[in-house]
Amino acid sequence: MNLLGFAALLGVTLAWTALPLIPALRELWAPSDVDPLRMVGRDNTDISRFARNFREYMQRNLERLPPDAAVGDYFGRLPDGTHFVRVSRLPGVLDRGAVPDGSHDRVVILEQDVELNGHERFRLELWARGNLRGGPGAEYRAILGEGTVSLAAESVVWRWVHSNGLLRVKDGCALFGRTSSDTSVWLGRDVGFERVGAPWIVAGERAAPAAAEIPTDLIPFQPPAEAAVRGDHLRVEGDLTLPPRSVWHGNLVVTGTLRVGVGSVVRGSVKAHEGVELEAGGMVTGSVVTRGGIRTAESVWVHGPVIAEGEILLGSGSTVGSPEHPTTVSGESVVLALEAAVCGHLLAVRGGRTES
Amino acid sequence: MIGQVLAILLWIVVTILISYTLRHYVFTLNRVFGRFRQPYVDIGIADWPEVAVFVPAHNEERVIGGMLDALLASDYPTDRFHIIPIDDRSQDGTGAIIDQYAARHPDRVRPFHRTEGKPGKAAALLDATSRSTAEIFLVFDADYLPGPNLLRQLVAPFFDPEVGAVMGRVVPHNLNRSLLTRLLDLERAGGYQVDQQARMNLRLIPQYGGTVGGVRRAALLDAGDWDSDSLAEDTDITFRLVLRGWEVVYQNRSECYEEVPENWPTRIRQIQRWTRGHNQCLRRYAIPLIRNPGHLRWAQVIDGILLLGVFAVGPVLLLGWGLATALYFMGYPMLQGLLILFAVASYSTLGNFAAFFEVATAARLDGSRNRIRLLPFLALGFLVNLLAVSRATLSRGSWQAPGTDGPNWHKTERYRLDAPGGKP
Repeated sequence: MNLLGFAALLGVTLAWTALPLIPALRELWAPSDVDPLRMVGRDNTDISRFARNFREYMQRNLERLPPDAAVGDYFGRLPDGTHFVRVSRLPGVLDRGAVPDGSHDRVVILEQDVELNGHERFRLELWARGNLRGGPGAEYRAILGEGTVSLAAESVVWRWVHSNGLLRVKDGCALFGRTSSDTSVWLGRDVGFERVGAPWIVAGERAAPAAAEIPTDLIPFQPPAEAAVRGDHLRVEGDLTLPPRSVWHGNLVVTGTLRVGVGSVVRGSVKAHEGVELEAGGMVTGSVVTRGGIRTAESVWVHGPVIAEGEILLGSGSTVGSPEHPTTVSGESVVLALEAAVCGHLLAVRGGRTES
Repeated sequence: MIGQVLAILLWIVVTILISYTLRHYVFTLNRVFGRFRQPYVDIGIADWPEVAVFVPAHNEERVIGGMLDALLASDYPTDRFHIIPIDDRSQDGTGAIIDQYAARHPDRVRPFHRTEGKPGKAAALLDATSRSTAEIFLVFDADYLPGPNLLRQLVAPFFDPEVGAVMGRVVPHNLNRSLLTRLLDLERAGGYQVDQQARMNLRLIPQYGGTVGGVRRAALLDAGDWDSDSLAEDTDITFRLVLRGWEVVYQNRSECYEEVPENWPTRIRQIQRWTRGHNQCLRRYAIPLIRNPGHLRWAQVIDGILLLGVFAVGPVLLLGWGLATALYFMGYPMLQGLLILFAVASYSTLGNFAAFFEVATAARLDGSRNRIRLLPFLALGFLVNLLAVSRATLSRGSWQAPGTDGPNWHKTERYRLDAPGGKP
């Protein structure tokens, strides 16, 4: 009797112990999640990727449509069921089809140059195969433009916009997600953005300048005596200021704030733990990195990447990179003053804007 | 008297274990609630520096071809990087395979056949890196499979002139082979997704792991180059760089597939090798860290000590169990009543599960669905690790000065059957 009781107690105990192992045992005997983590190729730095994928997707699907889909205006469905409208004759076709309140629930393909009235709401992608001039207050899910794309004031793009030609964005627009052009992006005043990529991105309509020349009449900077050489850089504890019109050859790491005086040049890369301030006409031929914020005055030029874990404020007429040597500006937030420009990628983790 | 000594020892053990428990929780809670810090991951376009990619290989004919194929498919500017496969006196077909690749890609693959000098990865790297003038050195073990954009991602942090080394994330690709590979997948997730990234977030000391990473040439030379006698050249260079004022960066998005051990004996040998190398570094760098050269924050010093001591915790835990048992049978009254009950209950609730909490959080952050169900089996993995690590820690090799163990190649068995470009 005692033995039976012991066996029963043992059995109950073992069952009780095994109870939390049931999911584990099930997963062990019948694996349901044994694929390696999918990760190779995941990369946010290819800003125009969505646009390219969309073009390939559309071309692949349109090829499978009947021949009459290529003639005139055509309302139909792609082979995967997506509704679309192909517009070859304007105006007015976008109002056809009993679409309520002027909104458009189809992928829209515009086969020729188009100028829209404004205040449209495109709930699916818009593919402009000619030039596109949007009207004010329009909302777009995404735009792929094969020519020039102009977004009128107060327009919103929710996911991405890409133009093969010039992308002109007027005042007060909001560009969520990815914004890119194969040539130039011109941003008006008070334009919000997140990820922008183009050979020339400018707040305003300034043309790309010739590469900046480094002055030759600068005074060599004398670092503080307590500065320490660490490999290929000079490490300075605390704040550091380069006086006006001075030059330093080499990389600099500063544990406080770094100020580069008016017209001064650093021929190398700089990092400052607390922040970087570049005064008017300052130049850095390498990268500028900080855990804090970066503020540049007017007409500053930085050749390499500009990376900040705080806010980046690019002053009027300042340029990062060059058309021949595009680079990256990335900060927690970014503010572009009028005529500030970036060649390459401009990324603001929590959003950026142009000055109003 | 003996009882008092044992009790003091036990309290020291308890303090150490609580420190590691707190560390697990701080890291895990940081990953759940903290800011994800990855300042360099967005650098996708720039004037990229010249890079040399080193692939140390000793009898790696099963995998070396796949590794070279993967590197050759990289989107890094082709005129800015070259690959230096290091054939360190292999007795199989590794050297011939490397030569075939060099013949096909003479501008990009520059083989280095080592036939003399000390064997071993650190010695091979020391010889090989002295033959390159590239600004950045990346290192991959031969069984890894880097994606096309990985080189760019790993080089990006070096635009920060203070960064001396970069580490990417290692992801097992053969996890469907056994219970062990699945447990290692969970362990790796916890170690990288939570541990390393939390150190990065908190500006502590992320560790350069010897593969899927790289060092700046100037930093390497400033820190005294690779130590050919070190059993863990990765941990060794991490702490020498940090002590010299360089930063080590971890990039969670820079992921690379690896092959993990598929059987327990291989795993035990691997972790015992890591233990001996890590403990060597504990012996060398604990005191310099505590002395603090001045530029380190105390949080970094504490994290550094805990990181160095991580493989010494196993025997400490075993010691604690022994001490507690001995004191119990000696009838030694440590604390009475509710306090001890509360302490035991608290530790059982929180302490024992800290590592599980970390792994579970990592799996959730990775978006894994059902692999987390295997979590209870990690207790088995931890038990094996505990014994293997304790044995290695108590071995002579763990505490000898570097070089006295005799340099050698310590290799992990390879399993891959589909060896592209290599022998199956």
